Amino acid sequence: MKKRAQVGWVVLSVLAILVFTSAPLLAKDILIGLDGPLSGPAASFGLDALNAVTMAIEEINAAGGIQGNKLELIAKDSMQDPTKARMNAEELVYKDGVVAFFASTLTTNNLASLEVTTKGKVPHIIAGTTSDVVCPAEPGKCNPWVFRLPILNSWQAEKLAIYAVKNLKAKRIALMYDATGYGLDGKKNLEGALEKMGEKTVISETFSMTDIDFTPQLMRIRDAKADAIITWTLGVQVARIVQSMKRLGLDIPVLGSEAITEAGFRKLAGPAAEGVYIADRMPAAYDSKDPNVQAFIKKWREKTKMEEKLAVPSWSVTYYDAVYWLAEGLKKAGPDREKLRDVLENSTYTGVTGIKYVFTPQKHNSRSGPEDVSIVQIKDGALVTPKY
Amino acid sequence: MLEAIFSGLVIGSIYALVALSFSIIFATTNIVNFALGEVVMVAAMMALTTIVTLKWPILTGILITTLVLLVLSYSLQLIALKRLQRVDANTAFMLTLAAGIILNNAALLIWGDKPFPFPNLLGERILFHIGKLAVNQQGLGVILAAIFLMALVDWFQRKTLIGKAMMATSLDREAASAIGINVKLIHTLAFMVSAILATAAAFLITPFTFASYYMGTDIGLKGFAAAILGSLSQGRGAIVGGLLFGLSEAVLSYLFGSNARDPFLYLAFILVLMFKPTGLFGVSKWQRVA
Repeated sequence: MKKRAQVGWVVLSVLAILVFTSAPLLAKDILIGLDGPLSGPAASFGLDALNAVTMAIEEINAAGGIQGNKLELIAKDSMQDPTKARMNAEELVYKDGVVAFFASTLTTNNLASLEVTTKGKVPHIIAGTTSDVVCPAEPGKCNPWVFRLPILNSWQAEKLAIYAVKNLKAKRIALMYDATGYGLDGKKNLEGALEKMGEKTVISETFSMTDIDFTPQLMRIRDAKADAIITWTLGVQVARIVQSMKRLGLDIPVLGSEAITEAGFRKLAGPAAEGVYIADRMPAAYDSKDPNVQAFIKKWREKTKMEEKLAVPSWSVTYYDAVYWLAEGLKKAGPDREKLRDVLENSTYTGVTGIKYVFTPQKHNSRSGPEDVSIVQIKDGALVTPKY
Repeated sequence: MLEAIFSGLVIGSIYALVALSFSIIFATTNIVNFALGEVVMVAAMMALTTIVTLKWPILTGILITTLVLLVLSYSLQLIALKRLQRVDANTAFMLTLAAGIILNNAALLIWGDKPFPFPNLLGERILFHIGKLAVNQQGLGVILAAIFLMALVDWFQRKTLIGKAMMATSLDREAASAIGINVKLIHTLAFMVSAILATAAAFLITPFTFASYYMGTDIGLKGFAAAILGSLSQGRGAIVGGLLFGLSEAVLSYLFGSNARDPFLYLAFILVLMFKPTGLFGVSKWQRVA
């Protein structure tokens, strides 16, 4: 009896060893890494990205994966800490051996991981950050391992400047930017764009992220008789600005960068956000008649339990598109990082909202210029296509 | 210009509340309570939960929030600073800092990382005009509420017996103890008054800043700076420090733009501290050497 039990155990363990060691041979998962702010003040960006990537991967795996192999995501949280982003990238590249890396939505964290992915020769995919530095627009200036799907900050600035001057007929434009790298970069781009049209600002006001009251700056803008304000900062700050404007009775158009397409801004600012114009990476999806777009919005709503009126965050759409684009590349190249890079460099993909992403060896920014930037407007708490 | 002064006074009177809150604890216990900013944050989040999320009547919300803050402040003193009299300044500093970090993280776990809009309970209507300046309910309400509360604390400290005992403790702890003042009780009382002031500051500032788990750092830092500017050990000095800080922030950024504001402000700060290390209204106490 005792002996039979022993034999049983031996057979069982041999079987177990066989099962566990042969599993990877049967179906090999393709690992994809993602780093982003999944907690902390910027978490909404990271979680929107994560939701989109998981959604796309689930769909691709359900449809058979990449030639029978499933995609598997390893997501890591770097909050707002560049050191953490670098460590995450090191783990993903060297320990987990991912074939592609989705870099953080935050520019500094994105840059911190870039050195690791370049050295480790892993495609560094940018679907969130619009900062020019991570991949400049000039042909051939971008790191060969970096691929950026969305628009650039300088294009947003140019589009906003054109829109304020041509569409809103503003003659006395004021700037309001925060005293961070993001704000200063925006100021430089906006002033450059206005200069190109032979215009200049009547006043430029800055503030620190810790400022509570924007009344003094807005009073200076009013005293300068500005007829439009272009802001370059994040949602919380623009919410404070439009509320202070309301208290002050300053009623002129407000324009802002893509950062304020996030739903949080509209929630915080409430009615004061009405009418604000925003540079977005795609046309307003909310009032789109395209059935594909509406189907995607419906899917997103079910997955994230999003409120009816809120638009799908535009960076979520980019992350979603990016996964499908990457999957097409993987189908051609297989899970080989260098082959994948070469394939991605010569690829074209049309996203769920009809956006065309085109990569060439000279052009690692998939979009072309300010003409790819859309202007959307806040109306009844939703993002819609403006009248003019 | 009048408008800049007004908006400076509005924000300044909130700084003054926080500064007074700092100074009351420092005066009686010799401890800078670095958790105070986070205490203001907890008050704001409690106010958000009671008034916005649970939709309780405003007065109930204010009462419950104050109550919770009193308990919080008491436990803070009990857990972290119970052996207050024997703890040296450095240890106490670390203890309050740690308590602040714990509160901050706890708030992140409870309320999450997103900022929430907070209603303006005082109303937006414009009451009257002085020249170009439109005085609205919120602005005037903030100033009046803050001044009323600070005057009350001042009266309490100067006119009532317990208040006088507090003042005596702040002048000389050992002498106060020798004449029969229960110093431990006074310490508790100081933490209580400080909690009430912090709660008031939270209610007044949150419509401007929104309620978020990270709001405490900024308001704590500005309130502390205001207290240093006025006086960390004199209540009235701290109040003036707060008003002055808010006023100069607004007026300087109106006159010279906000680029020029911070250098001006902090240069003035350094000058004040160079020539008057105890703050504009501070009095240096005799220090026993051994």
